Amino acid sequence: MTQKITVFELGGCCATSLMNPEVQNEQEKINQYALVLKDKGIDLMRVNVAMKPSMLLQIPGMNEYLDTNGMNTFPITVLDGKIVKDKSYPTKVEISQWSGIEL
Amino acid sequence: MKREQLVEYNPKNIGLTKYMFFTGKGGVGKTSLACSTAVSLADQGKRILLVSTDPASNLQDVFETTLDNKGKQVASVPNLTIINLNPEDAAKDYKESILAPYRGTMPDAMIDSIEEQLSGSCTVEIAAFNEFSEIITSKEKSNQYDYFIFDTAPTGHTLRMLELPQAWNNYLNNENPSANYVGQLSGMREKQEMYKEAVEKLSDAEQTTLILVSRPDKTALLEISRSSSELWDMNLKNQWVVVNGLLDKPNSDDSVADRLAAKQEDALDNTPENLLRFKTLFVPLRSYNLTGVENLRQFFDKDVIPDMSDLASDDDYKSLNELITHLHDTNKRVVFTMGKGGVGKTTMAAAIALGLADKGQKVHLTTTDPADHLKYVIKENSNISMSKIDPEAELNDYKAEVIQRAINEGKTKDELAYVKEDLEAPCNKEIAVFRKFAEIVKKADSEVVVIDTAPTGHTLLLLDTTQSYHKEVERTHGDIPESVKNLLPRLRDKNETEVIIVTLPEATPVLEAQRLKEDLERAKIENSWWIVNNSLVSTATQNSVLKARAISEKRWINEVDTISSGNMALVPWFNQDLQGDKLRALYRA
Repeated sequence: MTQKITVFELGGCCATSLMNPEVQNEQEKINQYALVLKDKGIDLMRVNVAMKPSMLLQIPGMNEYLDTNGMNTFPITVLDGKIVKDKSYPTKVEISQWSGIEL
Repeated sequence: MKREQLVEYNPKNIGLTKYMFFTGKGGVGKTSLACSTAVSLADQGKRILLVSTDPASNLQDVFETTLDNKGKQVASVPNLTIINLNPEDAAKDYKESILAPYRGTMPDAMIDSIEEQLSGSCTVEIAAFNEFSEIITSKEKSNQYDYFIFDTAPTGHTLRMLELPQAWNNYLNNENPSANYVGQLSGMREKQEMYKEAVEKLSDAEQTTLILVSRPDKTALLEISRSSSELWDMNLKNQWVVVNGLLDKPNSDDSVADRLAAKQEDALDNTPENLLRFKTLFVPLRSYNLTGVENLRQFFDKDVIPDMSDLASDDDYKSLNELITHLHDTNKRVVFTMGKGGVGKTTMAAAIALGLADKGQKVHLTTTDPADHLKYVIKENSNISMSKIDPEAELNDYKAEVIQRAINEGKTKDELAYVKEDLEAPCNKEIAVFRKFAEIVKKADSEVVVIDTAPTGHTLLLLDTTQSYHKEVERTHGDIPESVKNLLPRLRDKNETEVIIVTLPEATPVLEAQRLKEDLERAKIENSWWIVNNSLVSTATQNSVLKARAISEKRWINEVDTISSGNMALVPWFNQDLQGDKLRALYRA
């Protein structure tokens, strides 16, 4: 079963989420799910790409992916090293499916 | 506060602590004071380290020696060592240290995006604080110098950010950064201890004095009142207030000098409460700012009136009227006046609105200034409608929204503290205002909308990035972001939009305004016109100090004239309160 779900986002300064109550909402939900999953030994994490670009680029195929799809593909969700979703945050249903845990 | 209650600031006579930080907005005289203080103490035989973030060009002229960020001694002032820091360079270095390994391997668009995120004032603030901390926690330096003088200080916000346990926890654990601000701290892992020590030193009244510098005018005093309470809340309680630029009571009949002195007195009478508990000092208005070590040496003792030829006529400069005509003739729909605090953006926006209305256009004026006198402008003019944006109210609404949501989602006390601090970052206010403005522009059916503020290029670029998130999200909240989405491309359309930079004919204001322009250019927003406000040139003053200052303005007026390729409106300092219709004086010959 999945051990590691990483959501890569482009966020930097404080202000980026201010214009987007939706985005903030999404981000906070992910934080909640992460707490639940942590207890079950599953690592769900949001990563600010500006902070940890290496983490992003280590994913096999990521460079080509970004080259082809451009910057509008964030947030990008990676499941145990494979790109599984882009352009929007993973939903509760999706995370439940991937982790096998009912959220 | 009466002038008589102020003590004259002179380093020879007042007890100073080992560490001194001068703080205040750009152009109040922090660097002049810091330099003169440093020279005065060095002349008394003390070993001085002066740390300045003033642009190298200025300081190098004054001290006639090249400076660097490690420490240079000054030939003409034994005992003085100067460190010239450029926080923007430090921020660039920090940015580069993050990106360098990826250049060539990471897609360019991504590099650009990350670079932009780390290009805000937040990063510069932290980079500056990083430099200060290293200096004040250095044991070696502590033994080498008797006094440390800084011509700038960290803001309350920066200090609070660094205090929050959450900020460090987020970083160190690298799990779920619950707020994006923590990005700025990612390069500073080992530094938590050092920062803690630095902050402790800053709050130690025995060792450190924060010297709040202000000009004797109402807005400036309000501003330091705010900084003061922020710093006080951070336990930095050893503060002084220095009023810089007090005009000597003139005994001539010079109406300009009289009026200026009266305005200053009025400002002092209305000094904010919270400043009255501190030692309050003054420095007289001098004919010059920084012009060489010999003048610095005499700064506290006497004025030095330079040789003055008659003020050359200023016929070659354009007036506000010409700018208004340009806006009318080119059919601009959206007009921004932007600039640092206190330069006169609101007055200019109101005058422009009035000027356009006088030409028969329907105008909607949006102001962020609660000043009442603008009401009268509208009453008399059916062509103008007005709305107010109260930045504090907008910000509070937004904050309340976010915090309530956080509470509903059951955030811990620490997390809430973090969310709250995140909301204190300066850009939030900008965006809250911009969001409201976007709404207004969308609804206005007037021909022209004029607004007295604008977000920085950096903020706009960040907004741009976030637009991409919206493409897939279908939500009804979207009303406001929708209008913002539509506004951004309009701002970039130079046929529709005019962004006017307002500044004063002085060194730091012009330099700061230049940075604003560069920032805008990065966001692909054009700026052609500038307004130089409050110029003493052409006031025909005979007061020798004011006349000398008028002469020194010329250099900056010409500088702006060059930057704007002649698209500069020079607005004189006015002898009267510009209320209501009197605003017309600004553009009527």
